[in-house]
Amino acid sequence: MTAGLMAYMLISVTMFGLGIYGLMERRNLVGLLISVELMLNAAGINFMAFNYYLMPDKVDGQIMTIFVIGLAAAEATLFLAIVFAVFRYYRSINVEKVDHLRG
Amino acid sequence: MIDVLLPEVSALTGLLILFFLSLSDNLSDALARRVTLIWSLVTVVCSFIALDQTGLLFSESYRIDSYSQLFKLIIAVGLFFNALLGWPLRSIPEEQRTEYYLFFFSAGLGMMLLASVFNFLVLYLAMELVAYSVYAMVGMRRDRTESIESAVKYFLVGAVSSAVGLYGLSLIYGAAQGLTFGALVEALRQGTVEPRLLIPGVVMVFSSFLFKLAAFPFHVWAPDAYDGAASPVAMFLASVSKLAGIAALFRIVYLLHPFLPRLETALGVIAILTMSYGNFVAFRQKSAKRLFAYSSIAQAGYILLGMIGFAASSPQAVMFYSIVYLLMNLVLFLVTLALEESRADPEISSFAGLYKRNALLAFSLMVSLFSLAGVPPLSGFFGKWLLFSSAAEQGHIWLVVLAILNSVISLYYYLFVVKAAYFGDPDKKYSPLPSTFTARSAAFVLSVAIAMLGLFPRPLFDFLTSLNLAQALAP
Repeated sequence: MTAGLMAYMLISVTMFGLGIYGLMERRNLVGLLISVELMLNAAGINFMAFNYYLMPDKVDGQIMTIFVIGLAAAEATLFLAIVFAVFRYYRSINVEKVDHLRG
Repeated sequence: MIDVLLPEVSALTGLLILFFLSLSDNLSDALARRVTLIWSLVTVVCSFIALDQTGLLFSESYRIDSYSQLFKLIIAVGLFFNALLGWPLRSIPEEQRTEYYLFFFSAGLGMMLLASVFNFLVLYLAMELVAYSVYAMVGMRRDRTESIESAVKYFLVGAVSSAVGLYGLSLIYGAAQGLTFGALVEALRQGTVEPRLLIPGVVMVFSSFLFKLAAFPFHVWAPDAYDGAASPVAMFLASVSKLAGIAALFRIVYLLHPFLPRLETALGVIAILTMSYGNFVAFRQKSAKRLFAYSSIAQAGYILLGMIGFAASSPQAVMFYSIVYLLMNLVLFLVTLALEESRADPEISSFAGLYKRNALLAFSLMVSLFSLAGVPPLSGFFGKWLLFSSAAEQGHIWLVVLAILNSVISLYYYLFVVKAAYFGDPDKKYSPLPSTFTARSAAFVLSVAIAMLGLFPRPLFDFLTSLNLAQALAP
């Protein structure tokens, strides 16, 4: 692995880790969504970096990243719709207030 | 070309029809239901016609073989029964019922794609197509505040699991230097794979799959989602949605196992933990839907155990049990839906005296519960026997012993429901439980099928053997 690829992987691992950290620390539903988006984009960086450094003559990774971006947008739309419904019922988007069911 | 993709095209057409129907405001939900019913029947016919197709399409990204086509047929039949029995969608507001059927078809399309995936991009897209549709379906219920909570929890856990899975896919992409399964297998065969990328990648992708199957330790969402969602949606989750996950997971496991020897042990241990967890926690449940959620967690454990027997018999075993699993769960939820006539989210005590109130439903419930527990003459027994013997052939004797102990334990809580239905006293003001003709005939057909597949498993088993599934799954 070249040094450039290593640097990109370091960035993506950091982003992924920050996403997980955010999932544990954030108590706000929108904050949680942002954390998930960080994790998705970390994967997107990986796809682009691998494509650029390992298979520069192919475009698989780039296509994958475009799909990831599109799906992330769809996911955010759906999630925010559900967050609206949550707010209407609970008057709050704090996850600690939205906790009645017991697994 | 079109006849190769007949089942998918049919599901896509259903999706488009429902989309245009849902655009009109003054449409009765009964019409949407009728269209869904007819179109899911068309999809069953299309899947049946396309049963013997083969091919590798879209630059080796999409594989049509006997395995995928049979799973598509099973999924199509499952969709048909879901459309048939789900009605009326009691706890979903009337104006959203057309949209329910829209998501019904989009999830169905995603599940059919999952049976054929041969590329990580297609895998990700198909999984998300199913997942987004199901998130919306779970969130549709409006008669209970907890429902929106279960939707948001399900969505969050699901989104995190698919983000983890996607990160795993990106690592596998780097390791295999390509997105198709063929490229991965080729790279593994030549030994050019970087294990520091591949192993974390595979672990992450599998954890995402285990989430979809509600396997231990990623099962926590299932009881809440089943409980909070409207019962037809819970039926959808428990029957077809889980089978689609199994279809894709088994294909990947089958491709990777020659190169990753530890995969077998890891999946075996997860299978045992999954079934033990499901069975032990099921004891404490009072709500029927929660009980069925834990029971379906345990059933996923049995199927996982059957997957690791890579003997030639393993694909038949998984396929046979998938069929039986679908039938059994449809009956469970059919009875639950009938009980919802008087009370949403029935408890196990609501089953009391079911025999006196509606003998046919009580009988089909008993057949399906005994079959889930694996009582001999029923098909659940034969299915489990196939799963366990294929794992035993591979030398996992201890895992099989633990699995048999598990299925003995599970008999206890299944019997608890049967006892309530047959010997429990209904409320003082009990009345005969009305059931529609559809529900009665479906209950009859399904329970006869469960019994017949147990008494005479030979024809189906021979049919599955003749399909040469192991060859279809091989790279």
